[in-house]
Amino acid sequence: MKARLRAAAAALILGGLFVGLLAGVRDLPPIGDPSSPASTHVSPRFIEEARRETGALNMVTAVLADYRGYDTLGETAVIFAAGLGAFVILAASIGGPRRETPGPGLSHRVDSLLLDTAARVLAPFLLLFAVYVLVHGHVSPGGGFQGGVLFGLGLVTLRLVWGPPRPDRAASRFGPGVRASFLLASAGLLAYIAIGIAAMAFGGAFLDYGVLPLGQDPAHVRELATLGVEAAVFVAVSGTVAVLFETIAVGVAETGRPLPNEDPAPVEAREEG
Amino acid sequence: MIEALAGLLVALPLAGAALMPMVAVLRRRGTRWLAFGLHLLTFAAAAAVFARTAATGEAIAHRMGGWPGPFGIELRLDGLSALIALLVTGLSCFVASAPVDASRGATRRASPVREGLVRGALSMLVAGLVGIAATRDVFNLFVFLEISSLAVYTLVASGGGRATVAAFRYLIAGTAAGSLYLLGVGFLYGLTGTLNMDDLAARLPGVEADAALTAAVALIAAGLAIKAALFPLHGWLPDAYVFAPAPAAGFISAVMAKVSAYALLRLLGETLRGIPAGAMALETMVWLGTLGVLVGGGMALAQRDAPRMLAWSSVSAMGAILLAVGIGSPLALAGALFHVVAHALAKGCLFLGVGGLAETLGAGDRRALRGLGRRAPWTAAALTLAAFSMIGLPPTAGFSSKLLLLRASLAEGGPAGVAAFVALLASSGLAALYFLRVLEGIWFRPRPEGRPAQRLPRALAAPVLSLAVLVLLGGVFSAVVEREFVSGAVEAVAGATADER
Amino acid sequence: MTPYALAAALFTLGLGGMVLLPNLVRKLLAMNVMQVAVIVFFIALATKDGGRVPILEPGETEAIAADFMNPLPHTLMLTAIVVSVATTGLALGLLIRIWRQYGSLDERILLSRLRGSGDDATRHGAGDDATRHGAGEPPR
Repeated sequence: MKARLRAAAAALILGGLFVGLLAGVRDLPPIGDPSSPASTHVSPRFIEEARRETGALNMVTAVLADYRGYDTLGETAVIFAAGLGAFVILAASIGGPRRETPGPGLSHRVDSLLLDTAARVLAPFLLLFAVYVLVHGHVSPGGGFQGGVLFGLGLVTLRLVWGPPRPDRAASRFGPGVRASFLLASAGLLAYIAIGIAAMAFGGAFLDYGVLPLGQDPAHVRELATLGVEAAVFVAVSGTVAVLFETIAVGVAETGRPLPNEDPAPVEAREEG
Repeated sequence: MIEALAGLLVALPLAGAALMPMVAVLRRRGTRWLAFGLHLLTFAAAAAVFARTAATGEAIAHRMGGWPGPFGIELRLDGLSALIALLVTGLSCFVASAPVDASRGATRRASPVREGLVRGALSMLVAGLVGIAATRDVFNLFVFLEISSLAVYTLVASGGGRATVAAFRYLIAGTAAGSLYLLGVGFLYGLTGTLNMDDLAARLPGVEADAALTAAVALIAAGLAIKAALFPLHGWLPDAYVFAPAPAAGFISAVMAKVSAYALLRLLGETLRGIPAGAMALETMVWLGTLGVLVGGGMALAQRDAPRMLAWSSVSAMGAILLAVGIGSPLALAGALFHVVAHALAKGCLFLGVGGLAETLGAGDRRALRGLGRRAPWTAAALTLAAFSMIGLPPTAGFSSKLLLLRASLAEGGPAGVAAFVALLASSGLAALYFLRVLEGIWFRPRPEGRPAQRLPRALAAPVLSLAVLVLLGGVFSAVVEREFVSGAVEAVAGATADER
Repeated sequence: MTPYALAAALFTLGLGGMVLLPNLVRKLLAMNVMQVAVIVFFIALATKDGGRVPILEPGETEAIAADFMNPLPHTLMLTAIVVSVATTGLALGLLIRIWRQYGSLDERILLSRLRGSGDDATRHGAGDDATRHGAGEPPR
């Protein structure tokens, strides 16, 4: 009875939300209307001036890394926060003591000729393409995040097939690989902040790239600095992707060993699947 | 120069959030003093900015990337933003040097690496909260909301065990809140083409699309109300506060929901005030806040577990703050802001103290606190002061803020004002019941047999005592607090709306 | 209109799933659906009849606003996607811990185990009132 009441209440609220949203969107300017406020206020400057003001052909990159570069710093912080959180939640001892018996699943090398060969062929292209996506962000779809995710996934591909970077320390719960990735992630975020503060040191506002002494043409200077912050984002994101993968993979693989603040005795009854 | 400080206010703790985990992983120690230094530095910057806004009455702006107004993102610290930033950074100093989750007993002391990581998360939380307070861009506010959210989930989850489940529920509620807010921002953007708060306030009155505006206001208000734990959207709060490690719980309970209440005040009370739906949302908030005051107080009375009782009393306090924000008169806003400060100090003190004791004792049952008065009189006195402030007894800060709130709701009149007045009075009565029950045990009952002696870890004792002193000072010098701290903040919001009328 | 309606439907579905589904993994997936709804909404806002992708050709120097899609919502959604990814990553970490400790990700089973689990004993000592914790919370 109680459950039915709850379901009825939920249906009512959700139905109300849906109807309310539909009523709301009917009032918005029609989709594609070139005279809508979104198309005529603020955004024209990004379209018409981005090339001259920031040097970027890709207007999305110009807005992302320059006009609204502060959002992108926040975005980098968010992704780093996720890596940090996963690390706190799942990492017991970083580079900790050796484990006596090899763990199951992802903590050791998979012996398969097929996988090994495929990884050897695919990985270099994946990693190279990631860098291409990064540096080409100015003129085509791409940028630090997209490239960083690709690079991180390239690392994960290798990690999946080859096992941890130091097989002799495969047993250590968080080996040098994840440590390095984590350091990389924090270095990326720090580099972004450093670029922002450097601009302040040269008399501009935070992240005001134009004042940096990198050349004569301000648009060109901004273009260079944009590449700099995109690279910082790239490093932070690829590091975090690797950290997230590693902590989650090891967290699953090492089920049964206590984590920090975890009860030593695991629950007996486990469900299947 | 001062503008540069405003720009650094977020960048400093953010750099700390990246730096401390790095140092922890590389060097394994040293993060404790690094954390303390960084938080102190940030606090100094916030204090300088606050002093300047208080002296000149003008806001300090920093244009990120040098881009003006609606094209770039602007940080602007007026009296209100500066007060919130001051509160957040100041309180963070108290917990920055506490051992992050070592209070679970000497046997389970956390490794230095882990401490560094958790300190990084705390620094991240400060960056997010100060960012929310400082930004003038509604989308940037979303980004900072998510930064603070991810950091707070991490801090809650670092308690392990049931805290993990509490953190997940918090994450689901928090992300729903973020998505609601962001969809609301989408509506506003579709209607006006801008994300800048000042630009929005200027353009919104010219928009003729009532249904869409109502949807936008409802989505934004609902999203932020979840974050601010407005009844009945408070479901995430009790577990998250109870199971977080004591220092984290102290900080989170002091500022987390209140910064979202600030965002509600900023957006509904200022940016969206010109439209009818905004006024309706504020009215609803008065009623829901009133209900929250009563339900929170009642639930607190029903708890046997001391931290859980404190958590429910937070629901009640958030109700009081939000109902005053909903009333929106200068007097009510002064009451709301004074209550924000008073409650942050007192609740921080209580959560640090009771949480720390509960963790060292391994028990949160309020009977475990019996006999504390004899064993640790200073700690007991500090907790007593903070409890008095929660009830609203003189001479504490809570008395002055409650008085302002009561006056404001009387002055408002009408059914909502009267209901709010009655609820606030009743909540003081309820708080008296549930706090005096605990205090009686602390001072007049012997320590229960077979329980270990209560003693607060030293790193927690200093913050507890100093917060209690601040609670007392805030009450004794309430006129000074009102004049120097609160009135500038009220003018920043109410002044703008008074011109409009 | 259609993309907006789609966004509204996805948003409602996602929110409903987050509140009603008992399995925590499904809650997480529903959360992602909700976030995708917001992205659909913003991208619909960005379209402009007769506009093209907001990237200039290498030789192009002059641009007229009417010829290009609005780049701002695209940028915002790039940020929103990253937020969504980050939240999902952290949530997965939490889920693994929950599963390791309680052996289930079903809210109903979890609730019963939480009430009876030994964790209360380590944290709250008095075992007799362990069942009372959370007794007064509203059902979610």
